[in-house]
Amino acid sequence: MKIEIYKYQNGWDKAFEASLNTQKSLVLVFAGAKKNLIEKPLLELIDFFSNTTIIGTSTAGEIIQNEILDDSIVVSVMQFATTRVHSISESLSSLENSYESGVNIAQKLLKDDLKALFILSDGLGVNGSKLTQGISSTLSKDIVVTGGLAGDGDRFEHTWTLVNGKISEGYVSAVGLYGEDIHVSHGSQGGWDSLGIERLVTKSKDNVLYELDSKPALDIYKKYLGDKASELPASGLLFPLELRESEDKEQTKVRTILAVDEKSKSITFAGDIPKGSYVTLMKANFDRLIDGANDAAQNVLLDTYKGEDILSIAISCVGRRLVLKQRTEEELEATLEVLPEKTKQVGFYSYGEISPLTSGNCDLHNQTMTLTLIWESNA
Amino acid sequence: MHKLLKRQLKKIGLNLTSHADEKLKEFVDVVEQAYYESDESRGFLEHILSTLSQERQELYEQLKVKAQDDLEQSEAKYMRLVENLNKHYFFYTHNEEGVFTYLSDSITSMLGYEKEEFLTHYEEYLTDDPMNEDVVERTNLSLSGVFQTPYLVSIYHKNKSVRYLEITELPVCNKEGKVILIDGIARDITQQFEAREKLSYLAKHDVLTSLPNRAYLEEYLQNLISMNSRTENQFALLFLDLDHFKQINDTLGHDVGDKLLQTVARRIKPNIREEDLFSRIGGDEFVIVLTNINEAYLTTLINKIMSLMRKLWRVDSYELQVSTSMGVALYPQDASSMIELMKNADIAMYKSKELGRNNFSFFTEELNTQVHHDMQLEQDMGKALAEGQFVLYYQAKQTLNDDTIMGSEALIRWNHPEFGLIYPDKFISLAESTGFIVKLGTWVIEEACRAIKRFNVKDTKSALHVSVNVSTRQIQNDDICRVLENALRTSQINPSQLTVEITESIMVDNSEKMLDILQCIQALGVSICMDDFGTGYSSLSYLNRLPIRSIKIDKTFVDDIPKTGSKNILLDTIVAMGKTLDIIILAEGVEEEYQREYLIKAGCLYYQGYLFSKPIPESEYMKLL
Repeated sequence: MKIEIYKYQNGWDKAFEASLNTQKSLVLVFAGAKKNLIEKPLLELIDFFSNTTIIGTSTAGEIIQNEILDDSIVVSVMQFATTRVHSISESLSSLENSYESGVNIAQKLLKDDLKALFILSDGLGVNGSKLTQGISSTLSKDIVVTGGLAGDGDRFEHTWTLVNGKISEGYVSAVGLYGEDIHVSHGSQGGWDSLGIERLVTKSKDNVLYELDSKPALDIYKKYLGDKASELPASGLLFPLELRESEDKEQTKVRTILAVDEKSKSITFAGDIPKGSYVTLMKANFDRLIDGANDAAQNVLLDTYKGEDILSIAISCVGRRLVLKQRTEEELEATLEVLPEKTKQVGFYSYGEISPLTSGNCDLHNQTMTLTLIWESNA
Repeated sequence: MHKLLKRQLKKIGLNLTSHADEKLKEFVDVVEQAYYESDESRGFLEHILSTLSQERQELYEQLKVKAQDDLEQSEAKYMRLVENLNKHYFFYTHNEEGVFTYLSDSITSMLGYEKEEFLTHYEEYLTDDPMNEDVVERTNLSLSGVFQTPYLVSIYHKNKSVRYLEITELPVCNKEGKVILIDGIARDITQQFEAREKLSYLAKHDVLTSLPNRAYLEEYLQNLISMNSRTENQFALLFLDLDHFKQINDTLGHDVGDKLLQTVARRIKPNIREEDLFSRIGGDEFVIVLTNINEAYLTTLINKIMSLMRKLWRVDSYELQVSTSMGVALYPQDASSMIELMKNADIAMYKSKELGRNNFSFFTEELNTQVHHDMQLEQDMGKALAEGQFVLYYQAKQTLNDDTIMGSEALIRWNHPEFGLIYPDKFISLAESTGFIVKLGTWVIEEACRAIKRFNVKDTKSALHVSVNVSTRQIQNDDICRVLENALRTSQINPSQLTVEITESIMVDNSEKMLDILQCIQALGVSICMDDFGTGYSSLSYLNRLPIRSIKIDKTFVDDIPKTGSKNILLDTIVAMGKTLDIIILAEGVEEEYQREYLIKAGCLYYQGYLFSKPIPESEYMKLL
C-alpha cells in the first residue's frame, strides 16, 4: 500500500502523483466548510484523481500530521495492492430516517470479504446514534466501522460530504474495504470530567432535549455558559453531557450539542437523550484531554502490524478544539508519539465520531479523539 | 495589547514599532492570543465554579426547606394521630435514665391529670394492685434494651376510679446499640379488663347466690393443697346438704327453692371469716373451707351453722323448716388430694343423713367423738356457770427461803355432772371461740375477790393476795376495768390483794390500747403480773413501759436448771434484771429441791410449784394458812 498526503493552503503543497490515479486508490478529502474558499482546488483534485474512489467531508478543522489547518484541504491517497474499495452515498431525507439510512448503507456494502466500513456523514441533518444503530443491526461485530460527522467550523450551519465528486448537504457517504490483506484498527478516548449534579431527563424526544429536572435544559446551559451563552450552539460544546441510560446502569456515553432552539428552549444533540435517563454536565480538563488522545492511540490494536506503511485517520471532536485552542495540536502530537514511526496522519475536527464500543457494535461518540489505523499486509 | 504582555515587552525594552520584524510581530500576536485564551479559560472556570457552588447552594436550600417541610408534615401527622387517640392512648418518652422527656396531651383526657401534675406524682397514682409490683423492674428491662411484651398497670384516674393501662415500651438504640430513649404507649383497656374480670368472675361464681361455684372451689382447693403440702397446715372442708330440699322444690316450685338457697347463702355468709371460703357447688350443696383452724373454732362454727340452719326460713309467704346435714373432712389427716377430700367430706355428710339428718359428722371417728364432746361442753357451759359447776383451785406462792405463803394463783376447774372434773385446757379455748370467756372471766374475778375476803377471815394479818389469769380475749374487752372495779367494790377487799396475770402475747397487737387498759388496772390498785415470762413476745422495752409489779419465770427455765451446780445464765439474767427494775421475780413450776436451792443462790425470792403445793380446792388451801 502506498500512501501520499497533500494539503492545500493558498495552493497545494506539492504536485499530485499521477501513478496514484488508479481504481485501486482511495482518496480521503477533509476540507474547510466554506465552499467559496475551497471549491476551486477541490475540483482540481477531483479532476486529477478521476479513476479513484473519492470520499470527503467538511470539517471544523483539518488535521495533517500534528498540525491543524482551517479553510484548507487535507488529502490522503491510499493505493492498495490487493484490497478492493467500494463507496456509496445515501440521502438523509430526515432525522427520523437515520436508522434506515444506516441499514441501507450496510446492506449495500456488505459482501463476504468486507473488512471495514469508513463513514462520513452530514454533521447536522443526521441522528448519529440512529445511523450507527442501523449499521450495527446489519453488520457482524468483526467488521470495523469507524468514521465521523462533518463539521462547519464553530458555526453549526452547513455541513457537507462529497457525493459523486460534488459538495452535497444531507448525505451520508461510506466506503467499504474488502480483501484479506487489509487491516483496520481503532482507538477512541474522551478525557472529560463530570461537573456538578446528575440530572434526570424529564422531557426529550430522540436527540432533542427539552427539560432536566423539569427545568428547561437550555436555561441550565446558559447559566453555566454565562457570557458565552451568546456563542451557542458552539459554546455548548464546552459542556457535553455524560449520559447514563437508567439508574441501574453504570456505563456512560458522551453527548455533544449540535443545535439549540430558543423558542422551545431545547437542545439538539448528536445522539439520543432518552427520557428517564440521567445526565451530568461535563467539563474539559486540559491535561486529561491530551492524555485522552494519548490513550486513544494506546488503545489501537497493532499486533498484526509489521512495519508496513500506515495511515492514521484522526477524528477529534470540535468541542475539544474549542477548549484546547492554541494547544489543540498537543493532542495530535500525543497520538503520533504513540503510533508507529511510519504513521502518516490526516483527519478532521468533527461534529461526532464513530467507532466500535467494547461490545464491538459501532456507536456514535462525542468529545473523543477517535483514531482509525489502516494498513495493508505486504504481498 | 494584553496588559501583561505589554508590560513584559516594556520591561525588556522591546518596542514593536512598524519597523519591527514581521515574524516577531506575528509571534507576539500568537503569544498575545494565548494570553487571552488563558485568561478566558481561567475566567470561565471561575464562572463555572461560582455557578456550580450557587447551584449547589440553591439545591441545598431547597432540600433544607423540603426536609423541614417533610419533617413538619410528618411531625404534624404524628401529633394529629397522637392527640386524636386521646381517651384511649397516651404516649411518652423516657430518656436513658428513665426520666420522662415527653408526655402527650392526651394524658389529661385519659386520666384527668394535668401534664405537670402527672409527671411529678405519677408514682403515687399507681394502685396497690399486685400487677403493679414489677413496674420498676419492667422499666429497667426496657432501659437495658429488652423488647418486652406489653404489660398491665392499674392506676387511679383523677376522679379516683381505677383505670387499667396496657403499656408497650420500645427501646431506641444508637448505632453502638446503647439505649438512648424509650418510646412508650399506654392504652386504656379498662373496659376490656373489667369485661374479662367479669367473665372470669361469672365463670367461677354461682349466678343465683353469687357465691363461688364448684370450679372456683376446685381451683381454690388445688392451690391450698399445693401451698400446704409441705407445711402440712391443716384445713377443713365442710360439706353441707340441705335436708329435704327436693320436697320444697317439688311442692312449692323452683322459684321458692331458689329463693331459699339465696336466703341460706345470705344467712350463713356473715359467719364465715374473710380468709375462708363459702361456695355453692350445685343444687342444695354448699361447701365451706376453713383454714387456720383449731378444734375449738371448728366446733363453734359447726355448732353455729347447724343452729342457724335449724331456724325458720321465711320465703315469700312460706315459713319453712329446713335443716342441714354436714360432713367434715380435714386436710391432711383425711385426704391428700382435692378429689379425695371432697369424696370423704361427702361420705361424712351421708353419715349425717343416716344418723337422721340435721346432724354433722367428721370423716374420722375419733374427731367425730371429740367434736361432739366439745360441742356438748360448749352447749353445757352457760348452764354450768348458772348451776355453779365452775370452781377455783388455788396454788400457793411462797418465799424461797422459808416457805412463808404470800398468796396464791386461782385456777379454774369445771365440775361437770357427766364428765367429772375438767381442766381449763379442755374448755378455755372453746369459751374463747364462742366469746363465753368474757362471762367466765368475770365470774373468776368476782369469785377470787370473794375468796380473798374468806381468806382474810382465816388469816387476818398477812393480807394474802390472789392472782387471776386474764385471757387476751378478755383483756381486749374494754370492760375489764369496770369488771374489776365492780368486783372490788362489791367485795370491799383491798385492791392490792388482787393480782391480774397477763401473758406477753397481749403486747403483740395494739400495744398502745393495751397500755391504756393496764394503766387503768394499775390505777385501781390491782397488781399486774407477767406470766410465762421469757416464752413469748419478750421485749425488754415493754418491761419499762408497762406497770408490771411482778414477773413469773416460765417453768421451762426452771426445768433447765442444771443438777450439777453449773449456771443457768438466762435465769440468772432474768433475776438480776428484776432486781434492777425493781420487779418482783417469782419462779413457777418448781418441783425439785435442787431447783429451789439454785433459785435461792440466784437471788430469786419467791416460787410456786408442786415442791410446796399443787393447785388445791379452797378448803384444802385454807388448811395451809
